[in-house]
Amino acid sequence: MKKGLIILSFVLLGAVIYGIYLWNKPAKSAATEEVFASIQAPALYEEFKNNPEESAKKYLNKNLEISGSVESVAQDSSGSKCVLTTGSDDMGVISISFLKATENIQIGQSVKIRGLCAGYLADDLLGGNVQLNQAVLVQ
Amino acid sequence: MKNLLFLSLFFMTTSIFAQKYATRTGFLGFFSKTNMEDIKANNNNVSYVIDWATGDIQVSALQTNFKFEKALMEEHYNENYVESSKFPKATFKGKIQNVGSVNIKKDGVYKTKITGNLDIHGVSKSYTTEATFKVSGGKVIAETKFNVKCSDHNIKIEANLKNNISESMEVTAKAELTEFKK
Repeated sequence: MKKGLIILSFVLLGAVIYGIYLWNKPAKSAATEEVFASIQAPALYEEFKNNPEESAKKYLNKNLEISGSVESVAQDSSGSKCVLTTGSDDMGVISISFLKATENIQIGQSVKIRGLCAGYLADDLLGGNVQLNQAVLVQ
Repeated sequence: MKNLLFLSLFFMTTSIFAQKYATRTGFLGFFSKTNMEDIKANNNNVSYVIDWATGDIQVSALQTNFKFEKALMEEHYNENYVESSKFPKATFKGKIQNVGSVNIKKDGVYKTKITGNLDIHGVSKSYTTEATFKVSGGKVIAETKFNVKCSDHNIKIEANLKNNISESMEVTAKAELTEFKK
């Protein structure tokens, strides 16, 4: 009887600890997730543009290491952001939101960035937009 | 000579009507309040396009771009509620009523209604909302708030979570748009 109570209390304790862990689970980020693929910015964009559904299946929530040239940078209340050129004729871009404030990025710079793929937004006027989040600058 | 006149007239009118404003970094957020819990989600990567000549407005957001306070909430939101892998986007397509009352060439605050269809979780529903357009120095800050019922978009909240998640979400949209030049 006593033994049963001890086991039960351990099981309960374990459940509580697991509950606390789940509640406080840190958000996934490109700093900790395994890299799924290394790809050039224009190639990633073309893939999403030509085949949005298949590409979403392949890349959604995956950590992508992307290389490209910086078109614009922004620091706002929601953090650091930058946009990579794709060279596409519809003005499509890769938009990146950084995990932490990342200030040493210049327009025109060649960069390598890891980020979690959030998907693709097509727009007739603005051109498409592949979004990467929780990103970190590699070089 | 006549052709030239016609041509220049044509270019003049196109420049007058090239009145598209846009941004890729607009805000869209929602808020659920119950006695048990407040839940807030923000998305700062929302694209907005307004055509002032026709009054057309289009807003698109990726569901996976909504950020919650807790990672677990974000997971549940994407997997159980809006099913982001099946329905990755939330979109709004509508018209600004009485669009002529908004003078984008003159600084000021303009209020008018927007009517359109909001598509979430594969279900489209018509909404009308009061919006504010603040014009200042060539930029337009568009802002509105309205309520969305989860059941209207076939989003089911489990009975045991009804006390934690409100059936009605307060949606806030805000974006600073600038003239779009290709």
